[in-house]
Amino acid sequence: MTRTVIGIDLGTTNSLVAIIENGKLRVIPDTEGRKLLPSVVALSSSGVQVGFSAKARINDPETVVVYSAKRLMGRSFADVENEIRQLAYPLANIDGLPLIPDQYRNRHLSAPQIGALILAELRKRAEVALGQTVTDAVITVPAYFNDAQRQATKDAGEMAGLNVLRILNEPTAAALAYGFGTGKDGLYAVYDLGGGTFDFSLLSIRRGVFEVKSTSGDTHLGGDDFDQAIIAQWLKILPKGVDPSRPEVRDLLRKEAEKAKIALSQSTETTVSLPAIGFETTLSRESMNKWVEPLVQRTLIPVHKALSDAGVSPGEVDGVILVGGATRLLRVKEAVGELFNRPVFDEHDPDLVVGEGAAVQGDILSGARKDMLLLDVTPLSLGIETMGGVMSSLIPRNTTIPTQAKELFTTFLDGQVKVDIHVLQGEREMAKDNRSLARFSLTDIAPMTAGAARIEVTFTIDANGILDVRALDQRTGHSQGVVVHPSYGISKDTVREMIKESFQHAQEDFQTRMLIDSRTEATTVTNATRRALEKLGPDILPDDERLVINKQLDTLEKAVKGENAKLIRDETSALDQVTRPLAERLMNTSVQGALGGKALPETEMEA
Amino acid sequence: MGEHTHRHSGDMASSLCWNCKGTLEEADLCGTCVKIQPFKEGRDYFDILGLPHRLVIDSGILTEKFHEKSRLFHPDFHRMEIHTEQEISLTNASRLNQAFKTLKDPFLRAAYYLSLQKLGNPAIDPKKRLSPQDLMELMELKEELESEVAIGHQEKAFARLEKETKNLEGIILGNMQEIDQLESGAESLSPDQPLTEETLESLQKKKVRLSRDLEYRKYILSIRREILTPATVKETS
Ligand SMILES: Nc1ncnc2c1ncn2[C@@H]1O[C@H](COP(=O)(O)OP(=O)(O)OP(=O)(O)O)[C@@H](O)[C@H]1O
Ligand SMILES: [Mg+2]
Repeated sequence: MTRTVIGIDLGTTNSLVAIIENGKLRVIPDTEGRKLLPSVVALSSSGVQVGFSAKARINDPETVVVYSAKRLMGRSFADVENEIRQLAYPLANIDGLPLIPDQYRNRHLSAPQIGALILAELRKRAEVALGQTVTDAVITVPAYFNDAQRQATKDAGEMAGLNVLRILNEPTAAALAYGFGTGKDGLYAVYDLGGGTFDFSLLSIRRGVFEVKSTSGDTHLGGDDFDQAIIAQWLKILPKGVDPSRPEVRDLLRKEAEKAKIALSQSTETTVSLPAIGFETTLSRESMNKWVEPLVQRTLIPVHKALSDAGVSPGEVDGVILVGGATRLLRVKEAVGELFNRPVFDEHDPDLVVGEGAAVQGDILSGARKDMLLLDVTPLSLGIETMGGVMSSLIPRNTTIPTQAKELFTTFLDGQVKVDIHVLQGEREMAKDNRSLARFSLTDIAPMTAGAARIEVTFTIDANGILDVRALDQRTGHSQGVVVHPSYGISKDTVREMIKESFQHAQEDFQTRMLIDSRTEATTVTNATRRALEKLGPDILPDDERLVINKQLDTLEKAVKGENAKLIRDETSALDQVTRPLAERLMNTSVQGALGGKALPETEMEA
Repeated sequence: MGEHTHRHSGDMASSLCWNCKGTLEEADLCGTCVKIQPFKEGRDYFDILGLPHRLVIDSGILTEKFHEKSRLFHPDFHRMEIHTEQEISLTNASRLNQAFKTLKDPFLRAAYYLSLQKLGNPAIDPKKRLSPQDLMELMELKEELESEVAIGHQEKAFARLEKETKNLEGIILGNMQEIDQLESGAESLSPDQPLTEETLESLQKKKVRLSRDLEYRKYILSIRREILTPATVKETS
């Protein structure tokens, strides 16, 4: 039997979990029927909250409410310095990483740790709904995420106790969801404008093979920026005496701007009212469109880049798939429609389609289906720093993954025992202008004359878009030691530390999972026993024995309603005890019955 | 050895399956235990995709072959298998992707085709230098274009460059077809029947020309990259 692999869309603003169940897509809601989970974590003296309850505390001065943590994934403090003022929670620069102080527990949390809290919540959701433990998952990331950002997301999954089978690109996931079941062959464009990121991908679908031709994007462009564009205009007309640099004011404006923006997808004008700061105005769709137009135009730059990389003109595209909440903005739909002049597909809920696609890929990876295959690409060129600080490209962007490049290295000095390789990602000519991924050291090289060593290094980008480096000493045929020093994000050791730290959390999880498992088992056994009892006459089951069994069934059912996993297990074994004599008798009668040609309900007792 | 025998690379004479050690009937998959097999050293991109060694390839067929082989080798389908098989899948899928990428583009394909034959035939090595005369021509072209751009005639410079490129590419594609025709004519002869001196000579000439044109095109493309300042990129895309 194949295990269920859950699909998770870990979004900047909202996340969700989906599965394929009996061949059908299903987004798993929480117990209150809500499909999305706000990607928000609240840290307060009373504990750590995730999702709706965390979001509800946004104005609580005693609580640190962490949102948009995805923007921090796999990035250094310097990377995000400019955005910090947009965030209403504090960030500390610790060893160059942006960490969130949790004063209540005397610790600092990294973006992957925040992500892990959200992922663990979604995992719990799935476990409750499925009545079984879940470990395997596919998690989506913006296609334009670099290696560090992908790795950070994978780390987050591992910290949440998930076995991350695949880091999947969001636009590709959306295409998978669209192609699932009904997919018409052709060349499609996916325009994905979320809360914090923009992705654009071109892909062809042909008989179940989804082949990405090119991808491009902007990891810092999304609906949030539209809100900021509106706020920027409002700041000009804010009543005197209101200090816009105060986090509370920022938060109020941010919420109101988003509200107005969303309202303008329906109406042509909306009123804006913030009595707390005495701010009152109206906003027309026309003015908003004007204010956000530069941002809309900015999305078209990656669109053109992807088209030209794939050697495709807009007219050759058969359809455009719109993904992400911000594509509900009418001006965005219009701009995309104008450029392609092609049918726009938006019938899948743009909020859900990415998570659904992750579930489809999960289904493929679970081994459940062989009719679909996804061939994705790496979004950024990978290279190494060579003499003079120039980047020499090894794997160009938009190369289909998995992919490998081999490069031969040698020593420059007599007796040199170590060679350093600086790996970069990006499109610029100079190494310093690109993103430094890591420095790899080839260690323990046997000392010999300069240039005599022959070390073949294989750079692999796997199907997750994540880099792996291996080295081989060509002279001996032995593998050569490689030590990795990641430039950004977190080292493997730190990740291990963090996994250990989250062990506490995992223990709690473990309890929940034990509970779920024991409930499932108990329910199966009670159902089977009750069914069997119905069919048995007093000849096989005397009334006093039936009474005992029934009593134990009731006891067990009561235990199942409680929270004590151990009690449920104990009562399950007790039931097993009291039904054993009956089971043995049934075994015998079934043999006799078989000899006498009588049909017997022996299979009913199997469970 | 006759040059045309090269392309009947039956590269799997009596190999054994890495897993069940059974004799392999076909190179990609063991008929007995149904395990994928690692690519042999000598398998070139044409072999990997199961295509004849030709300069002209129908892109539909190429894509079909690529998808067919991807379904066989892609890591997604070997996730549950033992480590060795996962490694084979990763390496094969990577090479397959590389093969497809190379053969998809007619110019990369042509350069690759020639590179397979350059041993024993250095005149067609696509990496060999252009003649001083060609280089001179290119320098002049570049200077002319640059002076056009300097006086604000980007559009004109770009149009000229476009024309040069299209022209050259037309010649290359035509030449590729002709080489294929000569080669397939040669293949229809029995292997021990030598090609006529004339055919051989004509083939060689065309290949040398092809190799020169491919290199020339690379220069043109790099001039194009240099001329296209960011400002003109916006205008033309
Ligand atoms: N009707 C609407 N009109 C305009 N914008 C909207 C509308 N509804 C939602 N949005 C915007 O969509 C954005 C959230 O989109 P979505 O939920 O797809 O993002 P996400 O998946 O969390 O982020 P990302 O994919 O970038 O990580 C927010 O900026 C929100 O304001
Ligand atoms: Mg999203």
